[in-house]
Amino acid sequence: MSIDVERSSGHKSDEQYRSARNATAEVTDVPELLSEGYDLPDSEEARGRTPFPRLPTPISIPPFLLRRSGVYRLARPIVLPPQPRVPTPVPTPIPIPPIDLPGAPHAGNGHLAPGTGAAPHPEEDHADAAAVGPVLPPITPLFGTEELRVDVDGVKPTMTVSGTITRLFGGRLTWIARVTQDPATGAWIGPISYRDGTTSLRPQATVSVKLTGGPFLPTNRRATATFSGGTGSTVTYTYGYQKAAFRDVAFEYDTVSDATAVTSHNPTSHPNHAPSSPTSMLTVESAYSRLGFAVTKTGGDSVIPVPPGTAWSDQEMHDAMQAHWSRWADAPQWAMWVLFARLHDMGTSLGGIMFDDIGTAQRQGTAIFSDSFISQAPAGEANPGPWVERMKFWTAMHEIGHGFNLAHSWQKSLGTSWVPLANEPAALSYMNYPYNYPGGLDAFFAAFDYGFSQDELLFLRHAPERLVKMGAAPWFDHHGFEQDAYDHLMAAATGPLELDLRVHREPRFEFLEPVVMELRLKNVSSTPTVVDEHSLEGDGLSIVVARDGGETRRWLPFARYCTAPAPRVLQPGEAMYSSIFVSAGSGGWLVTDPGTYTVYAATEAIPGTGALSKPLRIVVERPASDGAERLAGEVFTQEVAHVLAFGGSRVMESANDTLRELSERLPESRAAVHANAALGAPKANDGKVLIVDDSGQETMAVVPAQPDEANELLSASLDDFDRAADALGHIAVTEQTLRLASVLEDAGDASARSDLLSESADALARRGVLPGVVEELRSH
Amino acid sequence: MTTIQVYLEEGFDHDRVVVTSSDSQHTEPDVTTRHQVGLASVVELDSAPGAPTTVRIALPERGLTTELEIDPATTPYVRVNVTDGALRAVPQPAPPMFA
Repeated sequence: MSIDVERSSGHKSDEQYRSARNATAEVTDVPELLSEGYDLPDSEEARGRTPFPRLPTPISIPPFLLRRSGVYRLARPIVLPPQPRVPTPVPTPIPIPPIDLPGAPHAGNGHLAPGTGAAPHPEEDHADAAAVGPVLPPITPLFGTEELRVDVDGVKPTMTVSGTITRLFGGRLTWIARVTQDPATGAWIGPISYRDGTTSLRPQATVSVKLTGGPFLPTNRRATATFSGGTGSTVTYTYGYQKAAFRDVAFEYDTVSDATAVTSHNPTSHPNHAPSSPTSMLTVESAYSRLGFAVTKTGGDSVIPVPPGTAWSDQEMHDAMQAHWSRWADAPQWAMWVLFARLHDMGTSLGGIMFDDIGTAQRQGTAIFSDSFISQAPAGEANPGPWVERMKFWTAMHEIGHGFNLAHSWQKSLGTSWVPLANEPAALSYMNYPYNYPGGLDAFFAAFDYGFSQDELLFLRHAPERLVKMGAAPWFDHHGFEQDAYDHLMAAATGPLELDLRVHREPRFEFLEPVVMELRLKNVSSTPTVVDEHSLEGDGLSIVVARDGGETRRWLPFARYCTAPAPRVLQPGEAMYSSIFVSAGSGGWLVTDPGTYTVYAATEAIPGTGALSKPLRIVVERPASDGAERLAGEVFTQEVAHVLAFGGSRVMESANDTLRELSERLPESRAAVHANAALGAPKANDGKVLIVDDSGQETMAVVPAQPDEANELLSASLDDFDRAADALGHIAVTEQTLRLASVLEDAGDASARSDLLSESADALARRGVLPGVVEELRSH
Repeated sequence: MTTIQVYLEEGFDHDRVVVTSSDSQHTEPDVTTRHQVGLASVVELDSAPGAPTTVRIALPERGLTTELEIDPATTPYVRVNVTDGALRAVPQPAPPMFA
């Protein structure tokens, strides 16, 4: 991690920005107020200096309409790069020629075309190398998203642009640049001076951001960022405007029955207030909102009944949090519980505390004590009511600030700070003690504008999420990182499609059992949507298998299909399905040893719109016998994987021998279901094979069907239909049933065929398969 | 007897702290500042009423010592911080406030 954040250059005051913007922008009409603005001109100072003039025109655009700060996101949230050409390490029934796959849209010189939002595809560099043997591409660019935080106007801008690049298994990078505006181009330019995470995700040294789009339609706003210099080539991305708030957080308030809660305050209610302070009623939510947080309230402001006079210990409050907070979880989340209690057991000296330094996920709970010193206005105070309300409000904001991992103003240099920080004992910040401020409490509130310091805002808006988010902590960095990244990607993968990765059974697999999963891509919107027919099998599909405590690897299919786009309309509620042999691919076996695995899938069924499955956790059991363990070395070979993936082979005799041995030694196993199916399927029909004679001459021959053997093997596979459906999945077991029915038909055994179809249909109906599929099988 | 309250605030990190007055002595074996309140511990000492008394604070393992004379009737509260490698103690008429 490199740390070199410039602390003050390029800063402008709110006032400077409001004035500058109004001086340069004029229009002939003013629309209705936008609801999203968190930078309403809420201070007397701002209102006095930037009045909204009445007609005649031209008139100034209100500042909140011109503000472009906020979060921008790549238009294409999930990046699914083309996979490299896959070699054919062993003979296949029908050789697959190398395929030149289309690359990403490029503008030349390795620069991406603006507006695509696509990431560079380093795998393409590996394509040629694949010809010499199996090559796994780097996981890095698999699933990813990227957001850009622009903080150059609005309330207390820090003149910063930062970004977070998230890759599900390829790491994450948060980078920060302090920027200044180029007067010639209007672009915001600055060196990237802070990186935390996988620095190779953005090796460039400088960023230049151009903001475009009118003020009236936020959805039209764009940020075009060019990264240059350093060790990376220049790249340009275009991000779409997403929201004004830098972070989203939920607060929940509960009050003890003998305490009072204060969650709002009007700074002008006390005559001693700063000219720059807000002039309207602030709630805790709106006070954080105006500084860049989108705050929602959860729960129902519950009252916790206790005997009057109760004082609380930290442990008791933590217990109460677990019992009363609707969002309680011992895990990182953007949520906080705020308790209003009468008194801490330390006594009246403690006005409030972020008590949650207990357990693994900390900083989730705070408390404010209504009978402490904050309710005791000094003798002679002319406005004791507003004084007390102000102190209680300040305390609530202060304690919540600790929940965001903010230290006291005079403690900034203590411990390990995220960037080198200097103490700010004279800061006009919620995190300073007003009574310790130079000149005392009255001096503090005479100048306090109800905000945080610039360094604090930089941290709140731009620091790596794990440092700010409640429940996370620096030591928690590695632990839980993937889930965090996954949450980000799920949030980014919005669209009409839902991808479901599933098995129709308990997700526990026997040792040696091939793992087959099914994908369902469903239109969950209320309107028809067009998808690619090959979304669940082509280049748009990506699967990753992660073993707990082991490697995370990308699943690569044995076969690649170069297909023309095949548009298909999915009606609302309609879905398409596919079956995937996940255990192994062209990169080798992914699921072998006993243990727990997590499988993820993503597809790009609509260009530019991704769908990401929920992770599916599976368990591979320990070998049930010594025989199973002894067979492992023969089963977990690339040849056997190949035969299983293609559903059988007429030429790979060694693999077929292994499957026969597996079926004979472990006849009751689910692995035997797969083995018999793979052995029987090629015998059901005539099939072409490539023969190479001694002189090297290649000729095509036809291997005739062997219906009796096919009948025997497929019947053995489907003998216990539920076991077969568990092992093969509903899609594959239906295919095998139809294959066996075809063999029986050719043999003239109409009765057996009818019984097979009828009984199989009944079984599938019991298992909840769609009625249409069941009836199609029954009437086949 | 009157009570003197000694607030051990910033800069403590698993320190053994010995606080003595003319009339009593108290040892805190493991004192660490909780940064979210800026306070580590509060030590209460008895003192004879009506006369100034000397309060001595020591961190033996760090070789830090400071002492001050206070009048319990007017400044019964003492704030103690470890700042820049030194102990600093300040008497106060009112209890310090934390949040």
